[in-house]
Amino acid sequence: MLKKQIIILSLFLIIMLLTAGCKDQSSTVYEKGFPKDSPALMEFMKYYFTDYNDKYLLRNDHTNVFSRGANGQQDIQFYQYTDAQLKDYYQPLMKEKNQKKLLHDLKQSESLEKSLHHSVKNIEKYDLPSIKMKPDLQLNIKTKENEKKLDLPSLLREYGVKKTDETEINIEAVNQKSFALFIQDYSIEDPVNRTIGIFLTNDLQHIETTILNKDKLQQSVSSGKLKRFYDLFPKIASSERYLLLFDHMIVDQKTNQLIDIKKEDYLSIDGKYVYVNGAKDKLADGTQRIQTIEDYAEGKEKYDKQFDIDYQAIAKELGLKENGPSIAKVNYFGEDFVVLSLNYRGKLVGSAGFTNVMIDLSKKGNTANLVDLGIQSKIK
Amino acid sequence: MLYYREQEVKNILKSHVSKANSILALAQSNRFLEAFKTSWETVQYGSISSSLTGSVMAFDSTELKSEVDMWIRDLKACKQQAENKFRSLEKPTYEEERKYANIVSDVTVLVDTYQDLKGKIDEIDQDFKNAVRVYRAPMREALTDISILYHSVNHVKGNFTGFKNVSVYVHGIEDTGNGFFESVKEAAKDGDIILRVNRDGSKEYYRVTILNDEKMIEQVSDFKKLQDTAQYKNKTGRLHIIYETEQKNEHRQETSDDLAEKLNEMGLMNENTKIDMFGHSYGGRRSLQFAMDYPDHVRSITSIGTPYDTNYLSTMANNVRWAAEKIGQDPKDTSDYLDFNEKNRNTKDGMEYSNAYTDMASEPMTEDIHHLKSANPEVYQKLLKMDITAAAGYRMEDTVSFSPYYTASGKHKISSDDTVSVESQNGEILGNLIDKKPQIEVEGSGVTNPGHIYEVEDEEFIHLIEETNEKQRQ
Repeated sequence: MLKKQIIILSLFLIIMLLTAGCKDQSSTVYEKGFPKDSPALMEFMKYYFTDYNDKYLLRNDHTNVFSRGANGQQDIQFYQYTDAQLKDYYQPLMKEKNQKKLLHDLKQSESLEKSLHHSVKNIEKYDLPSIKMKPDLQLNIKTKENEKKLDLPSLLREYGVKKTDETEINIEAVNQKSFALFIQDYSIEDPVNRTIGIFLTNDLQHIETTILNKDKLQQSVSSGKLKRFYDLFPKIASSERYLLLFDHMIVDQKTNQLIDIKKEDYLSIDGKYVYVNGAKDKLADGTQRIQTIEDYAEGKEKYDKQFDIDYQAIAKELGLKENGPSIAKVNYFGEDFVVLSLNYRGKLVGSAGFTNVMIDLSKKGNTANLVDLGIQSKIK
Repeated sequence: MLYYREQEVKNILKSHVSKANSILALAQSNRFLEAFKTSWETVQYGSISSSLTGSVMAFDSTELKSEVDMWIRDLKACKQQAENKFRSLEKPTYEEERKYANIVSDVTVLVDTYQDLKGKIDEIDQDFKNAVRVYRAPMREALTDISILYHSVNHVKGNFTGFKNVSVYVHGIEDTGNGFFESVKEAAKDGDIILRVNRDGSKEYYRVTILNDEKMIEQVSDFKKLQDTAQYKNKTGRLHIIYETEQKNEHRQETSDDLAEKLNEMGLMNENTKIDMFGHSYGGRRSLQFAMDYPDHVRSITSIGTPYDTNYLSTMANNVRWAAEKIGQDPKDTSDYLDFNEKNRNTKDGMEYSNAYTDMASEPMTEDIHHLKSANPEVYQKLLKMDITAAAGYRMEDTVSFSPYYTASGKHKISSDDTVSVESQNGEILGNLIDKKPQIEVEGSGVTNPGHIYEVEDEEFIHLIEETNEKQRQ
């Protein structure tokens, strides 16, 4: 009798082990609540707390430096914070019940300026130029090496820039040798020709300009006039072949061509990865595939990272009485972190519920955190 | 009475009747007076002689009930005393036994009477509260109108004064602004601003730009930062407001009142700003209500999936609320609003309420339009001039033949979006008030996956938003 029981128990254990062993390794576990802290989450927070006219410039000894664009007659400003300061700033979210409200409050400029965005006192430490916007689009630029007044209407006459134009200007990239400016001229009627890039050496002796749309930038890249400034931009692949320009453009240094990112694909914030079909109007659930920019550019069918998303399982975890997702979008895609927004249709009318899905790809095992942070637009 | 009233009880009742008369003299409420008089027919001691000569009612039902509780305690103490005395007697006489029985019986009846009186006080209090809710809405509306007039006469500016073209998007029942936000992101043009007014009171700001050949919707952290943007400074683009109702299933009148208050604060209720309303489902009724209340400010209304007639499914949800709750709906969700029309009400824990469900179950939109036509023909004329598009979503279904003689093939158009009939959505009952009645094929597969829930995200409807915004521009 005892022997029979031992045999049954052993068979049961074997079946259990086999079942566990057969479990799909890529299946995602859904957990309600805010994710645990990690460098990937911190990176996401860095971008979340960056405003529309702010630009992340550089990182130096755990300190992150940003520029704040000038609208009209203002100066370009710089602010900084350390990793530890950023962590302290968002740490209350880990304990808060109403994370949506707290995150909204933390995003307010008054709170950011008071507690996180500390102005850079010594701009020369980071080779940052001082840029002051004066009336009639006169730009006073001062670097460690030189000082100059740039008459923008005259410099950018060929693009139709006039002294009365409504503009926004910011620094796009900077290093010890040169820097690049990014100008949006809202008075230019055709929006496709409204964005202009100015590239300057720190001695202010060499200046290049280009319109920043695909066609015009391609012409500038092909002409070779921007080569001197390539050092400014991050190399985003191990081969150092690809450069990320102005957040969206990838330049292949070998062919001098811009890499075309398909409309339905989503380029990561650092330009290193592509989320295949991640930019579709409605993200399909199932296996999600991520490629390195190198593999993507070379047309390889090789995927660096994969994870699963199951809309029904998420709804079940949240206890929603739903009729499928009406919104399924990627809002943030970093090297190791993905944020999605999902809105579910009600059974007969209206909506059943909304959630953000936060997936930390740096952690072992695929866990997705479900929390409503009210994030429904792209985090730049 | 089958018992004799003892002096101890008489003494207590003497103080109660005197207290009751003084309370009623202070309250000056006929309803309370009637309630006390009815109770005193059972009490049978003294008389309720207060008269209603004053002009101001003043009562606190909680205080009244605690007074009655004290009376109950007096009587119970008297009974307890009688019981203690009776139990202390070794051999009680017949008179003593009789006296004890009289007190017990009398107190039992009196306590029941007082408990009943407390119930009546609750009922009257609830009636007063309901009446207050009924009259609060027109009072609030009047105050908002005065505030709008004050702002206009004194040129009081709000944060968005100067925007000439404003679109307001209002969702339907059981919904949020999320669906409209996605559609508006697609429909918005370069230079526009999107403002989300959320249910929790927070606001979100976005600007629309073209960057690297691509339309960008950029979030701006707050209003302070928005003011620096070229889009805000120029004010040449459209301001899109995604409005989320404070209560998801609130009545259209509540939405209209809240919206007017908020737009006035923003500086948008003036003769220079023209508002184009967009509504899905019950949001269309909410939009029409706002247009009826503020016809000088509204330029157009565009709706889809809106039941302008009464709606069968809403009637079901309003009548069998537990069944609606089973599938995640909340037919009891309401605001403080109570409609004058008693049919447009339901009750929750004794409290009367009116909401989107009671409204769609009881009132076709023609009712208010007819009232408006006779009470204020000028406003009706303004509505006639307004551009009103009542779009209808419908679905296509496979044609199935039940005939043994031939096989049907192909698809046919069904006469509803599975939730609202095309006729009701097209506002046929509103006659010539509706200028355009487009019909849009939507996704969905039947009653369990109705076309109604696909309307806001439908490409053709988004195109209609774009078209309307393009046409309605000054």
